Amino acid sequence: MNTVTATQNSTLGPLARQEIRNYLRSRLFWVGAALLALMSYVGLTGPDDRFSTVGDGLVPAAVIGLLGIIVMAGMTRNSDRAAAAAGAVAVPQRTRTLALASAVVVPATAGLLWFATAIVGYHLHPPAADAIPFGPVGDGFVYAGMFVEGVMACIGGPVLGLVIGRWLPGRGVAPVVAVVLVPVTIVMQPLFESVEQWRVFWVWVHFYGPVGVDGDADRAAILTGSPYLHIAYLAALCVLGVLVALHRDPESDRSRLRTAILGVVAVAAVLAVLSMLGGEDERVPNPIPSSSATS
Amino acid sequence: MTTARLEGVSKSFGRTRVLQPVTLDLHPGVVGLLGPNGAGKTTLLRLLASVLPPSSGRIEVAGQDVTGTHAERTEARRRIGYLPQEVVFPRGMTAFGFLDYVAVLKEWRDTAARHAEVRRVLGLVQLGEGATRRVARLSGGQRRRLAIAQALIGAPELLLLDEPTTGLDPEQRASLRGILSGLPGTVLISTHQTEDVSALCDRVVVLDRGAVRFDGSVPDLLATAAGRVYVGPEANVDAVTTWKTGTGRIHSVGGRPLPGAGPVPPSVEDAYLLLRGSSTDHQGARS
Repeated sequence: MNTVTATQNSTLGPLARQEIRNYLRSRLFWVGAALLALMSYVGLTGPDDRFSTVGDGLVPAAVIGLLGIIVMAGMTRNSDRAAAAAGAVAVPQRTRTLALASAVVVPATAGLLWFATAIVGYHLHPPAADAIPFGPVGDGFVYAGMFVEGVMACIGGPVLGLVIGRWLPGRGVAPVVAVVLVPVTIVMQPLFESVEQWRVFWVWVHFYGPVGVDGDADRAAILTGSPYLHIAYLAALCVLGVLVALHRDPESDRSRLRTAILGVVAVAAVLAVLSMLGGEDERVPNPIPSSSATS
Repeated sequence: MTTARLEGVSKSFGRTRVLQPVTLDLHPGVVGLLGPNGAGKTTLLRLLASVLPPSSGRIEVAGQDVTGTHAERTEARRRIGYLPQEVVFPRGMTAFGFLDYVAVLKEWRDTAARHAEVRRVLGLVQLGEGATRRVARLSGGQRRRLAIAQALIGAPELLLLDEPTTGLDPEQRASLRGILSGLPGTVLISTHQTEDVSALCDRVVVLDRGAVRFDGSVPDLLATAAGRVYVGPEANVDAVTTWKTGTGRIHSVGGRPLPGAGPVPPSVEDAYLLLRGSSTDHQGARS
């Protein structure tokens, strides 16, 4: 039989490159990237010297992370359609899932670029004395907080999209999840001081901000928990998401995968507890009242 | 040389058995798979393509046990090209991009070789000019040809085509016949187009209610209908089916001819209808 010979080495590399290109072709990603660039420009050139880039972590989380849920779920659906169009192909679903996970490098790069820009902005417009950091925390604390809010959301959103694409492949699911995440995240912020520590189990939380103290509505405060350990917790959740997506492949040996999932769940739980117990035990307000309170 | 072998392969979905135990050997050449809707043709193709696992029996493709280990199934899949009956394309991809993606899924790792292969199959199905167009903007016939092109990637040893000519115009159908007749491997075509079978296939398998009713050459199938097809002024008595031709005379398949009717050479369609009619009669007599 005169079969044309295909190269039968690992296909993960070329498939990952295809998925990275597919992510880069997503209009939704570029809409988000354009908004992020615009907001970063405003942040760099704006006069704000109070919280500087602190609050801007929400922008990459929203326009890259949240939209990434929809982008990645769509890419997963496309990958499944292509595989179904060819019937049964030699490349297993787990390789396709890993290739899709590799494409997270695109939103992650966007998040890191924002992070670099945010740090430049932070030093161009250092925070005022009534802002963050102060007292027990330094610049690293602010960097970690921005990384948690911005970069980790840029990675975590698309990973969540991959899980949705694998387990709930219906077209409307990813947009609904993206929308529902917003109010849940608002609720999970430190609205109530007594349960503030528990919020760190959520995937998108603040560790500092103008939370308001003693009638000073804009008073800055350091919140409980460790943003450093929270980064590790979110990284564990991202690994867990990829493993859960891989577990969908009915043809692969899933026994070892189940063990790995249980292991990562345990690690994530430990990191969440450490993230909760690390850092400040209770809310620490900036001793300097906010400028709005003094004016 | 046997490309694929099914030994006592059956398939049930719940309590519904869609394929009775089937034993078939497939050799290089073009094999037509005929049968009414629901006969089990698509199921048979999906079993061979390893999309579905059989309920019982053993399937071998290019010496690899499709029902065996994952490694054997993967090795078998490397030798198979499959065109499903209905293809839902990925959104937003161009024709070239779609085939390029599928080629990667078929383990074409080297970019230059892969792109050359994609261009080759696009040329085969005469879609070279539409390569950069988005799939959503292609016509129905073009999309069907694109789906065929993905099955041709890598010149597979076993090519399984489920209704390949649906949506193709006569020229495109003729062109596809030219492509398929020139392939060196084994081609199994599930179709309702009996003219495709007579023009292309050197073997015909007729499935009915999940069982093989006929397995032989096209001349052998035609021989089963010799002397049983008539054209006359009136329809045959107890004919399986009749219709008025363009000349106003009645074409009767089966039955007893009336005075004035004369026998005509049967077509594959006539033979198939007779086969179907007799199996239905048989079924009716039993029940």
